[in-house]
Amino acid sequence: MTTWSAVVDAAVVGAGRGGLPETAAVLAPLTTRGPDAGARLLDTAAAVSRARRAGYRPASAGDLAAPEPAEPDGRPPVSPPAARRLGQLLAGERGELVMEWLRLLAGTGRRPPDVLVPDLLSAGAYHADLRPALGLVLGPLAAWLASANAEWDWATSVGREPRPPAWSAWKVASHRDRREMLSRLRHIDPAAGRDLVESTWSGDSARDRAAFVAALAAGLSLADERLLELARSDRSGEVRLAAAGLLARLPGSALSRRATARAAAVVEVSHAITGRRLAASPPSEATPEMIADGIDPSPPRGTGRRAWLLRQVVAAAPVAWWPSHTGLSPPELIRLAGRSDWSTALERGWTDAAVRDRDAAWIGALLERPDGADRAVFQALRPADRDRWLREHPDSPLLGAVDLVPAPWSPGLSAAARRWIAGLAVTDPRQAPEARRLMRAAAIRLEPPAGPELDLTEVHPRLLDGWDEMLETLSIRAAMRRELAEEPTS
Amino acid sequence: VFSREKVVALAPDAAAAKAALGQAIPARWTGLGHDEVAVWGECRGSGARPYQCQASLAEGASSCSCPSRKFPCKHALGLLLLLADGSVPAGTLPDWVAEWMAARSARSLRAARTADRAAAAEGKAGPSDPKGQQRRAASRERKVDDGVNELRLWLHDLARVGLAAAQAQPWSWWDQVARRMIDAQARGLAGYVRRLAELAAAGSHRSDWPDRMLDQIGALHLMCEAWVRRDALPAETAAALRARIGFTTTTAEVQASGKRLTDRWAVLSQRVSDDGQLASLQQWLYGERTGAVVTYLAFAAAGQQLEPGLPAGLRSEATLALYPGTVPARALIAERHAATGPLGPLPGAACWDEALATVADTLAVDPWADILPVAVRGVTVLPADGADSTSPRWLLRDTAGRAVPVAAAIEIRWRLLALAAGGPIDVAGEWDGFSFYPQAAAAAGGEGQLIA
Repeated sequence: MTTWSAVVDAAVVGAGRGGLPETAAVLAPLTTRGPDAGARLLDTAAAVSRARRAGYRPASAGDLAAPEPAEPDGRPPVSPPAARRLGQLLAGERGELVMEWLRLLAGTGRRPPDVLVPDLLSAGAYHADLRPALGLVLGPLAAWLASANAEWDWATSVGREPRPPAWSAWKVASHRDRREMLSRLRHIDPAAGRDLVESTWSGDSARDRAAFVAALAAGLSLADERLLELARSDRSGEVRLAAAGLLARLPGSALSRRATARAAAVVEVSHAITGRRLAASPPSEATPEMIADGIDPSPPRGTGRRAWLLRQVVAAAPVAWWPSHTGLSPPELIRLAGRSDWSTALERGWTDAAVRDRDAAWIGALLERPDGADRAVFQALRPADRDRWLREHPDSPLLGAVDLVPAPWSPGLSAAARRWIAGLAVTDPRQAPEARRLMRAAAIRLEPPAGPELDLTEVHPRLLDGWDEMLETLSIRAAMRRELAEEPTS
Repeated sequence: VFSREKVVALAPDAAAAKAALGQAIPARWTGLGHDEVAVWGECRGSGARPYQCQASLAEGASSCSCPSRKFPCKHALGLLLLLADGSVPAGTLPDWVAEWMAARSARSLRAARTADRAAAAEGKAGPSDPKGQQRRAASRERKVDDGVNELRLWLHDLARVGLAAAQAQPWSWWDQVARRMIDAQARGLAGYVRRLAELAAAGSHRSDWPDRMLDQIGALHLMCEAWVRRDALPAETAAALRARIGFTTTTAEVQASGKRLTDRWAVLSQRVSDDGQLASLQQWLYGERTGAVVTYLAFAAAGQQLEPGLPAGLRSEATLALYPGTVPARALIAERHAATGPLGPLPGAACWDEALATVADTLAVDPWADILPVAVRGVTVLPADGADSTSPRWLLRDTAGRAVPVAAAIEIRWRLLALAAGGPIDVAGEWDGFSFYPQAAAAAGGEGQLIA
């Protein structure tokens, strides 16, 4: 026991109740002056505490094992300004800008700053959506750190050959992991993915079954029909609905053959001298076969029974079947339907089918109708198609749905969005919610990151805060690009 | 315990007060609990993980893992509102709160002293009445005499009953002595007493509280005894004593007559704090040519702008003016020169023994010196092995095989390990007599950077 710890022990119980330890001879003149035990304890505490500080020697730790070094990373580091920027973005929780910074870094062949790798690993632990971008830039240091911290488990193999997913874990993995596993496998080997689903089908929960059926959309083929037919008679309505949706999209399936046969029977295109005509003859009753194929016999309030059945019969056929069956393009079909007695039911049926099948040609044609600018229909386009459609229709009111286009926006779309937002920013503040929503989206997605050309004095005062925020974020993004292009030795 | 009104008064602005009401719903929280010193809980927010939020009941100081830059944040306010409503059950302090309480008492050591200095500096006008000045100075010395005499008696009683008995005393028992020292115009002494109170409050959560408490009591006793014999002290030690008791020098005096030092300064640490009433900035500056290490301190009352130090994490040319009687010297920036550059390799001793040798030299002049700048090169990071409970602390081992314990937030420790990647690193930071607090680091010989 050291003198210090003996003095501490004596102090804890108090001078009134215990003796004082002997101190080194050199301290004795300082520690034995006081008239009583209390004073002597204080004198001793003063002298020994100062002596302990002055004479502190670190303990010997030569026998403790140090960690094995990490594998070296051959990539040069980023420039100091770029490193500082990443630190600020991480500290400010600007998740979407961190994501962009990582994507930009991936193109430079440099490595992220070593000192921030733990912070990146923590960000990836909390925000799984950052992991793909992190996987592009993290290297052996991240894997080395992750192997020492259970929270960073997801990163133990970054920068190395991707580990093949452990299919053997299928039975025991979590719902989310199984869904991810299945969708990856369906892209590589659809048949193996289907086998996996079938191997546990009877024991899986309705939630699992519905998710797995939905995941079969990737790599969908006639080989999946048997499983989908099984799912179509599932006890869970959610599973039935998901399966019916896929079967309807599957040309050649028994269901879609029956659906196209029904569609062909109710819609007829005739070629007369006066031009082409489209005539619809909706069924008057839903047959038991139609009901078995998922057609709902009871119309919602306010909709006629025949219109309701027509809409569903039209919707049940794969939407791409209509042009091949009639030899007419989607815009022509819509135009002819407009002259028929059943135009509303026909358009709604095609809309349902186009949204389900995410058919770009059909959705485009539906959006181009007068009053056709529907946000929900637009959203059914695939992200790249959304960008292209808006680019080709720079005056469409659907520019107000530009926030549905994920980053990065093409230069053409960015130019259209800048004009649209500038227009909103100067007008009356009743449109402020839309303006703010679009400014937030534009701030992180405009490419290149430059704001609309509009004088600050023209911006409506109520939108100024949102405007400033957008310009500040855009200037950060422009700076990120400059900094990442700098030489690391600057 | 806080009333609702008092909690609302803590809010930084009206929006935060309003947002706090939305957080004061028990259903948003898990793991709610409180004891005599703290209240804590985990609040579901927009993040993937719940925010860990905690507040100290002594002064309402709080901390939360949410990204808000408002202080206190809406979660902390909501937590205190729940407590005011009686919706928080009593419980035992979880580890994450205990860690925070321990870190706080170490930090408050600095904060208490700096706040005292600032307050004293503010109260100084410069009357051009030498006689009156002399009279006031004599009167103040008498007041401090009285305060010191009372403190000596109190310390004597404390020594007789023992630290264990004192640790069980309520906050008010300590606080009345601290207030008495402020009345006696000895803010520095009040700061020591408040620190003892914090150590007592955090006591049951940190095993080394008796060591740290006795260390502070020893320093305080020495200060009282030194004050009584102040005329017999060497001039430098007497100046250090006066500065620590609370006699301050105005910035104007330092500008006018403080010793000047021109160098290229590496800023190897920067700490900014803001408790809503007083903001402070502290930096450690390492001189490239003179080898001097000085500290820069600035304070600003609520709403005022902090006088910036030198650019953090860089080297800049500047002329400093040093405060008398401060060891290591406190400096203010007399003149900034344009040249600024990257930090470059860190300065530092070859081993801990060499780095800590300066501690004894400093104590010889100012025996009350506690937090000192320390830099050492080529050390190895030894992370605590979670499985091995015998080495729960992270260590930094030098090439001679000697190691000091690292006290730092978990993310700072991991940054050290990332820079090391299993190899040697250079570090600069603070030594408080018990642990090392790293603030700048570099892969051995490489470019230094701030990590805290």
